[in-house]
Amino acid sequence: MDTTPKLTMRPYHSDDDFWRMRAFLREIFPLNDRLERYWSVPRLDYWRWHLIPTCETTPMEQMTFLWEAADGKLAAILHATDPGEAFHHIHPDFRSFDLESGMYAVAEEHLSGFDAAGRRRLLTLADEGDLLRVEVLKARGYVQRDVVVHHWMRDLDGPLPEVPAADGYIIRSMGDAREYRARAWASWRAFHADEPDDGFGGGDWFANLQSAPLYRRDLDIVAEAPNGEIASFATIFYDDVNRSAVCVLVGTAAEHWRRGLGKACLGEGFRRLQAMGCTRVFANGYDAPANALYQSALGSGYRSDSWYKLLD
Amino acid sequence: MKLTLRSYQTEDDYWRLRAFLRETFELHGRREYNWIVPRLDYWRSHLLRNCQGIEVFNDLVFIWETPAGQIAAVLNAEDPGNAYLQTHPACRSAALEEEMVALSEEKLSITRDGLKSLSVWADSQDSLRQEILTRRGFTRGRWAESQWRRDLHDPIPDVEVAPGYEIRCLGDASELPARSWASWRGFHPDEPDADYQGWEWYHNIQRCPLYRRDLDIVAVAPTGEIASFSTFWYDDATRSAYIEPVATVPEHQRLGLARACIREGLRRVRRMGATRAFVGGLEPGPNALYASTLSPAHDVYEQWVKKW
Repeated sequence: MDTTPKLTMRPYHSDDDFWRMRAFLREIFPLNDRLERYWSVPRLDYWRWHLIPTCETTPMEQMTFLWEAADGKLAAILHATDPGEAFHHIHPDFRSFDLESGMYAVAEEHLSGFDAAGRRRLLTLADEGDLLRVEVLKARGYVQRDVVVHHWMRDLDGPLPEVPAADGYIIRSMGDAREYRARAWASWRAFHADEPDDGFGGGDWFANLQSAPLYRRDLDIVAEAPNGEIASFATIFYDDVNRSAVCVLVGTAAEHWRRGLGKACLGEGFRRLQAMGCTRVFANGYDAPANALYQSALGSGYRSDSWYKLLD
Repeated sequence: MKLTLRSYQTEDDYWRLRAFLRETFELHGRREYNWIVPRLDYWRSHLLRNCQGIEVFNDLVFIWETPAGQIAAVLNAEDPGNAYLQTHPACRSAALEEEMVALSEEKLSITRDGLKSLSVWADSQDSLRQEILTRRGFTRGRWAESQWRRDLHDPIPDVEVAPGYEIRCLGDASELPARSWASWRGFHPDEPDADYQGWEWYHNIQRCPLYRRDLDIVAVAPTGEIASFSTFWYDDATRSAYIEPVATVPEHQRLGLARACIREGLRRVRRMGATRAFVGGLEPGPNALYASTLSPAHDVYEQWVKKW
């Protein structure tokens, strides 16, 4: 007898689906030992309230598919933030080789992008130790890349060390709308340090980030330089349902690197999180400087490996 | 079902209470038949810590659990001598309600002039609780909390702000003294200013898990002082918002400032995905404001009093 639960796949329809996805991610987070085996709500919010409106990534309804059980409950979510890389979020009760493989089939058909050589390609991640995912990927012809994402985390159940700011710098919360431009400039200088300044588009986009349900200004920590400009920032989203937080935007303007400002902002954010009842905080590192910072500020973690498949 | 009663023990219990209230909010059709999470947070952070200096509330909260360890019901105080019964609809029974009221009488009553007194609160449509209270010697008290609500499907209309006033969110730490002073003047207009005890209490408000400064709406007078305020708490898990507190400094009343603050807050929480907002009023003035600013739809949470 086939005991595999019957699931129905459909594309994302409406805003109600978004809120159901949030509830689903909250439900499966504790079922996965409070690890970010799948996205947590802060990352979903960051996608909707930052990447889509500000970075103009593809709208959610074009990039999201849902699998539902016979009773209508969500069993799995597949999406990309832009064509090219697929993310899966699966309820542990439903996870199987067949479901994952079927989700990859949908991803290959609807979510692929193109590599630098113009070849149609799909990227995806597999956590270290996730043997089922690797089995699925190998069976479907995926190949591992030399790209790794580090998932850093820290439990907040003990005393937190003081992380003093460099002399003359002040660690504080983000200010009001008058500070959008300064905050956006710090982001620009942190993430686009080698680009010409005329590419800077101003600070209006910051209002989008602030509209996210989990945004709060007192968890948007900034380091203010002696000259008054924002030198560094750590924007943290706290999910009080699961008592977990994610550092969604962390950066230091190039002029202020190597002064411990990122770590000082994170340290202040962690103290505030702890006072609000948060018990675990996460950050993803995609390059060596970020990983060095997160390793020193958070301490433990695990990695995901990037895999790809050429589809033409 | 056999339920086990125990007193509140650890911080973990607090977070379990919050999850319980979120679950029962949905099961109650998104009405305030039990407390909602922002009210629990506000009780702990403000009414207990700030107003009563209480950090540990182990003797003010009692929990009934199912054999599987799920919370079935919670009994808690708010102001001394008041008891609030929160029940899971699947576990609610006359026997459980009776036990909760009996425990309230034993643990949460206050004694004044040799007389014990207790207020237990019940929804005006809750005949089960009312019958039990009546049988145990309670009578309706003078207070009733109107629980106003508004669904947020439609855009929130603009409201004209009195000339010279600005509606915005609370500023940074440098504005906490002004915000605290507005609270003092809004809620204690007849008391001598010498009784004012400072602004540091506001840090406890801002440490609440659901606090956001951009939902702490203020009306700023032409002089720069804070004239009115409405603090919104948005629970994104239930997509509901709770407004507490709301007040206007006497010198700035009757200018529509509270209405303007509430409308601005409603617009903001709607943008964040809120689908329903609540506010509670005990007196005719606030109730008239809330009925016209939210909607006429409301439940009534009545005080029942016993003295013995």
